[in-house]
Amino acid sequence: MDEIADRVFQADDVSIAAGSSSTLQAFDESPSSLSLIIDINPLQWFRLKDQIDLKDLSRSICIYLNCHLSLNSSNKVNVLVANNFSDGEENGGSKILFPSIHTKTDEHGSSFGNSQGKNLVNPNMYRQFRFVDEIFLEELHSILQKEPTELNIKNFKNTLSGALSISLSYINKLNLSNDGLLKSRILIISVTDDDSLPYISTMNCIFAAQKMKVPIDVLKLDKKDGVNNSIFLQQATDATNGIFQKITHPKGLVQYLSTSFLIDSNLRSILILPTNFKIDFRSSCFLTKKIIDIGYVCSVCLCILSLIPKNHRCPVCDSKFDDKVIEKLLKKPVVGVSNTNGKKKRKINSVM
Amino acid sequence: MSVSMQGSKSTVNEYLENLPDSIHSKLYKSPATCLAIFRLLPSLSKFYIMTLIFTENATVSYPELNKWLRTSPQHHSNVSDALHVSPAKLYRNESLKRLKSLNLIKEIRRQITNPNTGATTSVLFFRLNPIFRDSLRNALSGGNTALGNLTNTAAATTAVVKDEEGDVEMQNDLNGMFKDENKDEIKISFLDKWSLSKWENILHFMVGSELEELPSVGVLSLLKHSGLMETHGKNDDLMNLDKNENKEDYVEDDVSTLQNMKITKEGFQFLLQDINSQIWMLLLQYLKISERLMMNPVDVLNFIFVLGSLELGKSYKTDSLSSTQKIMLDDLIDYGLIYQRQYPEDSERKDNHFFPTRLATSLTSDSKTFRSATQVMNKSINQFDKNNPSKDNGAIIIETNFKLYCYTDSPLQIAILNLFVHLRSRFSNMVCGIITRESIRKALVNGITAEQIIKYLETHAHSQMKKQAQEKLLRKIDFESSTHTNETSGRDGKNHFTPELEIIPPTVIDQIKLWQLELERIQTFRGFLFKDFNNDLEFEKLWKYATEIGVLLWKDINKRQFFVTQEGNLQVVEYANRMLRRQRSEQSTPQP
Repeated sequence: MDEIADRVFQADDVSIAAGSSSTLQAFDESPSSLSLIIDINPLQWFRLKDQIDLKDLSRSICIYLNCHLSLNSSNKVNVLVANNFSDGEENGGSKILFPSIHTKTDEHGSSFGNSQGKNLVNPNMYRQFRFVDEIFLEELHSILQKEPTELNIKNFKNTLSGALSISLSYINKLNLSNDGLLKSRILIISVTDDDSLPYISTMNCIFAAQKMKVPIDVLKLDKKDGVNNSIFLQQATDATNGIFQKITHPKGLVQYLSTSFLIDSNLRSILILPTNFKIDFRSSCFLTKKIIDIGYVCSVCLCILSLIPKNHRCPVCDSKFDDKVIEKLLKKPVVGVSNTNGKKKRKINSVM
Repeated sequence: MSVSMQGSKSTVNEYLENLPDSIHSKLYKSPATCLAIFRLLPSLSKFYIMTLIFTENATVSYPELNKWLRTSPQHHSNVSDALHVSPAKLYRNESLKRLKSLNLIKEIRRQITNPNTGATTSVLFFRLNPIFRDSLRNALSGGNTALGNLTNTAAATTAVVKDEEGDVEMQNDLNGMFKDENKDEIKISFLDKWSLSKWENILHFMVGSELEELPSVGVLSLLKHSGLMETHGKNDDLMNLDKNENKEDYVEDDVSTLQNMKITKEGFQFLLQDINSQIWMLLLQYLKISERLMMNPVDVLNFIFVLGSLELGKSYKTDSLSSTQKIMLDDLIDYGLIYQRQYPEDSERKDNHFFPTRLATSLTSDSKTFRSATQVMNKSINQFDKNNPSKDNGAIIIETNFKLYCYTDSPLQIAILNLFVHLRSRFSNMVCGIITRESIRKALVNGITAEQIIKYLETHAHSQMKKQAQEKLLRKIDFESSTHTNETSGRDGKNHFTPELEIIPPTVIDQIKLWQLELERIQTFRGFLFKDFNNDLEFEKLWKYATEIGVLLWKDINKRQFFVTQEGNLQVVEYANRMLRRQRSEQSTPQP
């Protein structure tokens, strides 16, 4: 997996570690931006209902956003939701909550909308904070209002990768307008296991984030006995020098957020990141979307398959597989005869 | 930029650190002040505070703090491990030192009993200042009811609170008041223009250019007291000054003598700094004067910090300010930090709303945003009067042959340039000059540093120069990345090379620095020499400790001597004593 961890990250780390403390001090000045992606899959939230609900989470998130804004007066935030319900119309999919499209904001972010959020947020709060929190709560509220009463399971699909790419483009835009002075990072608050996550688009997002040097942090809320299934998100944090934490006691969520997930990009080189998982590097089959240990790899486009497609053509690049090789591959193993040296090589455990 | 900025920040910090504890705890009652102070801290200190702020008892043990730190850097090529003190560690010590001196954390020693062995050890704990913790929590969470009482005790906070409450109606009657300016856009640009003209007026006065309107007496005496300017007849005036100081009254300087002041060395240095540092410098001076005038420093500081958190283009009521702060208001108007509308028909009566300007709102923000803020400022100003391009800061072109061209007709800029450039010819819209050893030396002797000159040139470079530098940088990065991908050994730490933006030709920069070095062959430090050690071990332990806390200036391993700074001496001596005691106890125990 070291190949995935881009060299640019390593080089950065070394230069910071090698630099004097004055270079570290220089970092104190630089502002940073935070993109927060919240997964609001209703079914998964229902599963967690004994431990935490969206209300608790949004309360903690408000404080977390304030914490981030308090670090530096020119820090920026943007908040997205990955809404898993999609009815094919405008409500559904991923959406930016802040900066809001509905409320007009000028460059100083000082105008207020017709806020219902006002009664949710203490009016005594520092303006900069209140503005963000109000819009966030208001928009979240309006999205939850729109949620249809009847939930059709078929309409669900995981839109996390969509939210990721939106936030990456947002960061790109910020970088363009700030001469690259702004350091950005992404935090995903996820409740969903990612077997439903589209592999290719997620991976593309991860690589894009890596190129942009944007660390992706993941906070996974899970039941106590939950099997850890966020393979791709773990890979995302690993590849981008981010933090992955699975949290099963969400009561003290603020503490988690203010400790583990408030580590500025500048500090990442000198702090030990609180990532406590062995990363699972398996990937998923392109056809069945199942996560596999051993599979077939197309020799042309490197797509990963758990089974051999019926028409003997690669489902991604449409190249024809060699019949002879397939025949060999399909042969049941015979004791004493080695037969797996084909063009389609079997890859074990790591396909990356 | 960062250098000068750090300069200004450090002066602020120094001032804050030197305040007595009682004032600290009063200051920390105001959430806005806490927020501002918090923002001035190094990132690691911020991180420590953030981890502590939501824990139950806000304490953490020292070993635990260390566990978070990645102590061994990934590379140890030629430096042997023993001799290497990682910069991360230094940074940590620095961060902790800042927290301690600001009274934000307290050290507590506690006896901890190991549940397995039953042995007790004393462990160092850090505890977050509870007042600060409550206030910052308040600021972050918007205040909860249990802590509401605390919020109300601080005058400045109530001011903010009231401002926020009255805002909605205020907005309405404001709209009624100036119908022609009810759009935020116009107001902000108007504020920018107003504040900058006010500020530049002060600077112009300092370089002695002809002015239609002189800065107010308050400003003039502030300039004098901060040592940026001095009055003509030196001797007379020194006596005057003494007298005044005895009377503890600074306003009674004769206005006409004040108006004929001359700029000092410090004044020239002052001119070369960026606006934010300049303002901070004057504000600190203001603080010192205000102390002499028996103004409450907590009120003054709170107001300054609150200003930084106010919003540009919004109006705030003056009613809620304390009397001290109302006095300040008038002074801050003179500096251009605050705008207050005056009724044209009645110059005595003032509007009871004030507007913070960009100079004020960017007080506690960092340098980089401020630079962009000034750029915005310049832009908006240029939009207003296009026929006056002299206000555009980017006007200097330097060639590698040390020739300098500056498109300006502003006497201010010409005067500043004259400090370190040998000016040769002046045209209606530009001046030409050349940077020589003599001209730079003159500036250096005047106390201006090479760093300041370079920063000035960089910030005021012509946009064409910046563009060229950026293109060059991009090409360099492209080249680097293309060569890097071919190298397989990119990770050994030596190959990495971070190209920097070179706005000014590197030859010029180097030469200016060299000229400075010519004058600085000897550097002096006050400090203490440690020598005559009994053995190598003792020596090594001590100097390593000194390096770790960042006070070591020089060492000679062969002679077993090292030298530490004055401030660090006490710590090192304490450490040495502790070590001796431990040694003695170790020696004494096995003997009987």
